[in-house]
Amino acid sequence: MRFQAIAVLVALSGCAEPEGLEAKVWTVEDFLRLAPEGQDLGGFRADQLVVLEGQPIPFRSRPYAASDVLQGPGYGLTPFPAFADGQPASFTVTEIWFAHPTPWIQPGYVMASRLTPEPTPLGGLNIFPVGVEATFYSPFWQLFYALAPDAGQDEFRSATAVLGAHLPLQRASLVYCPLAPADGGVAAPAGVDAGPTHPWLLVDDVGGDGGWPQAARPMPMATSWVDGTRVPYFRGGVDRIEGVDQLPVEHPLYTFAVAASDGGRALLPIPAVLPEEPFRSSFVRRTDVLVGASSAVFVPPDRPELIALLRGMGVKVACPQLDESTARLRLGAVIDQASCVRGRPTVSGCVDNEPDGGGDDGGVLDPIGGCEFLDSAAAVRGVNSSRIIPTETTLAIGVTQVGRELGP
Amino acid sequence: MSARLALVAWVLASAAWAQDAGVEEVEVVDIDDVTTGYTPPEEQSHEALRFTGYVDVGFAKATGDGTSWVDSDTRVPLDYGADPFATAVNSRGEVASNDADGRFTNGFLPRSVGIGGNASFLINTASVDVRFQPRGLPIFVFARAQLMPRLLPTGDQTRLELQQAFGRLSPFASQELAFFLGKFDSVFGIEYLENEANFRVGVTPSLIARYTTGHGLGAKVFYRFQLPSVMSAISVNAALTNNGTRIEALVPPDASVMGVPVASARIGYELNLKDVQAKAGFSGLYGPRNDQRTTGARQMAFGADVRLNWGGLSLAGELLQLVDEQGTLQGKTTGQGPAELASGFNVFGLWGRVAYTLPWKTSVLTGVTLYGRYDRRQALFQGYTWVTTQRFTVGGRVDLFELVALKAEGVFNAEMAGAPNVDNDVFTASVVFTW
Repeated sequence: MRFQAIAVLVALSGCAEPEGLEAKVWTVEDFLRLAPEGQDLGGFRADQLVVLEGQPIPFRSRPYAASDVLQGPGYGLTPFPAFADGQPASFTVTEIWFAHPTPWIQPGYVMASRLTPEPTPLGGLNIFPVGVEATFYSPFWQLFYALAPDAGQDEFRSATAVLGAHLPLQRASLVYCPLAPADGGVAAPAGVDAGPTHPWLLVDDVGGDGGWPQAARPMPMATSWVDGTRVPYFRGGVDRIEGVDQLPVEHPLYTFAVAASDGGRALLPIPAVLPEEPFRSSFVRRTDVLVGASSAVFVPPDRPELIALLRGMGVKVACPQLDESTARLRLGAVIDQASCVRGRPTVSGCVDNEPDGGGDDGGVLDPIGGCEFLDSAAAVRGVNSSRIIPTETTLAIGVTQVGRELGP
Repeated sequence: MSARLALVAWVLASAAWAQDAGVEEVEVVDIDDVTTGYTPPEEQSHEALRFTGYVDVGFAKATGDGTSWVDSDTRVPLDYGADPFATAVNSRGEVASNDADGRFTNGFLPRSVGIGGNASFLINTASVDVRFQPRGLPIFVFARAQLMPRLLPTGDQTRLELQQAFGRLSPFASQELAFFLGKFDSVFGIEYLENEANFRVGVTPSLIARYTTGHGLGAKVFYRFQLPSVMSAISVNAALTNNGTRIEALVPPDASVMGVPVASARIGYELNLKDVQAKAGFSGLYGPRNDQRTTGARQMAFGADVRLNWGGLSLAGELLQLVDEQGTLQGKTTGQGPAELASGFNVFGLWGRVAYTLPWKTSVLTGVTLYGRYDRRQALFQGYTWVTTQRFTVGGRVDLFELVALKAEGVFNAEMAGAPNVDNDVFTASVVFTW
């Protein structure tokens, strides 16, 4: 049943894009509201984007693992597996726009007791001018220090009050702070509050101590003032985007897909590829990359449900036996030319380039050693451009880990 | 009320009449309303083809930089967190400046005369009317073209506007029933009666005029039923138009963007006593918003108005509640170009005015009127904060020879909530030569 549910999930998540060009914006609040219905949000299912308490954490549960891992207290933003510059990475999604103009960077205000020689914050909450209901809401804020040396810590609670007081302003950081309901974090099981966020990596894989599974929470929640009301938000970090003329610079998020029977495209439930400088690329456009007929997805042979799922979507799967650590690092990677795979598979239906009567894969030391993976933006750009299809969907993402580097 | 009253009294009365007649002041030629109306000279009314018009020469000075923006405000869009219409300088509602200094705005802007905080002479409007009414036929044709010379930071932006162009059929001589087809005045509320500078008591429109005084392109019907036994009348004025009742800078009327008309109507009651005239009305509007190519987002409005004329004293007031549903598509069409998104919007506003025309005149000095008006507006773009502003307007008007109006007023704006305080008061004057 679980397998069937995932299959349905994948099929729906990859259904053709909505007809027409109705401009849509979905925030974490919407993800949570629509998760029970599993609604499609620009190609992503709401219940993939967030996980509710006690529910299996996507990509950390079956069919990617032998058993389900359940979300701990509160809700969690799903850490999606990805590749960045050839390394495993992970990211969360906090906003999705469909057929929508590029979101503008709004200002935010930090009250300060002095501006020179160094700005000294008063210690109050950040002040944001709009909430998620606003047409021009954006999780990207250009902060300004507002000088009010005699003000109480939270005397100013709205942008109107700050601007109306005509306080001296000094430009500060450009931050990524998605407004969201309280009690959230990066999805993790109960009792886990440190370590990698990539769902398939161990602490050992990133050079730490301890055992599997552990997760970092690099997007802690904080509270802001929005028009006099306390509003929680994720502290997504500083300089997660580049801003030009109050607009975030857009980068492609390469998502792998196959042609669907309805004429649209079905997204594959495998790692996406992040842009170069992923920690500075939090505004991305979903850009589908069609998996070619000669390509294959690497899945270790001990994930038979995932192998079956992908094969059911018409994708070739390469499943040679690798050591466990390498397998975790490569899981879900797209091999551009599957003819490079060596060794006889132990799972039927996987890519088999060995002549009939050949030996099993135990004799091949590195069965994917000569393969080229589409695991970086540069590698993806090398495929035939007709296979790269920008979509109408843009996203705000919080990259939480790249290789051994946890999110800043 | 005699047709030889002072011009301002005539203005007030004829404007009131014209509204209830569902037509513009031009139509006094074919219905003689002895209780309220202005009756043109007999020789004029016999001319089938006539040309009239006016020239409105202004002089204005706004405080600050002529806008309602705060320099340090980088909120997006800028026009959602202030009232850019506050610094009106003329009867058209054009402001001293709407220059956002490169900051992003989203199509909620008035037109500008581009003078910033400087004092400047202006040709507010040069207006020409042409009307044709063949004797003995129930047909009336009217067109009004207006020229607005403007020098903006982008260069010469002089505009020529065909403000009205319609034909009217009045099928029954015994009934005040008329059908209109073309581009005509709004039917909503009462302030549209003062769209033209020579008919407006003061200089500037109210804070809610932007929603009610636009011109519509479509079809309109007016009917007034007299109740002589109680010295009363009831009128209905209803229209189906492309755009609704907003001014063209916000929602242009010249094409139906979404293919479905907007319905608007006013039902009015009037009591015509010998010395006192009282009028009241309710207005409504319903239809798709005409700034997106979809009928999925609607606009709705309700209004009420009241007027009382007693001797030289004139009281008038109007309130409005308007709602725009959020547009579903990317993009928004405005009279000043495309914008990005059509936000949900809600506004409540009102104005009240008292005017007093002094009870003396000469052959030269044909009227002296003092007036004051209070405006209040509360508006909310979806997800933003309520912006509450108010305005006090005081001024005077002197009429000479019944052809020249000299008007001067002070406009004092105040940001009450939701918008930062800004220096945006206006002194403006206008001399209107009617021909």
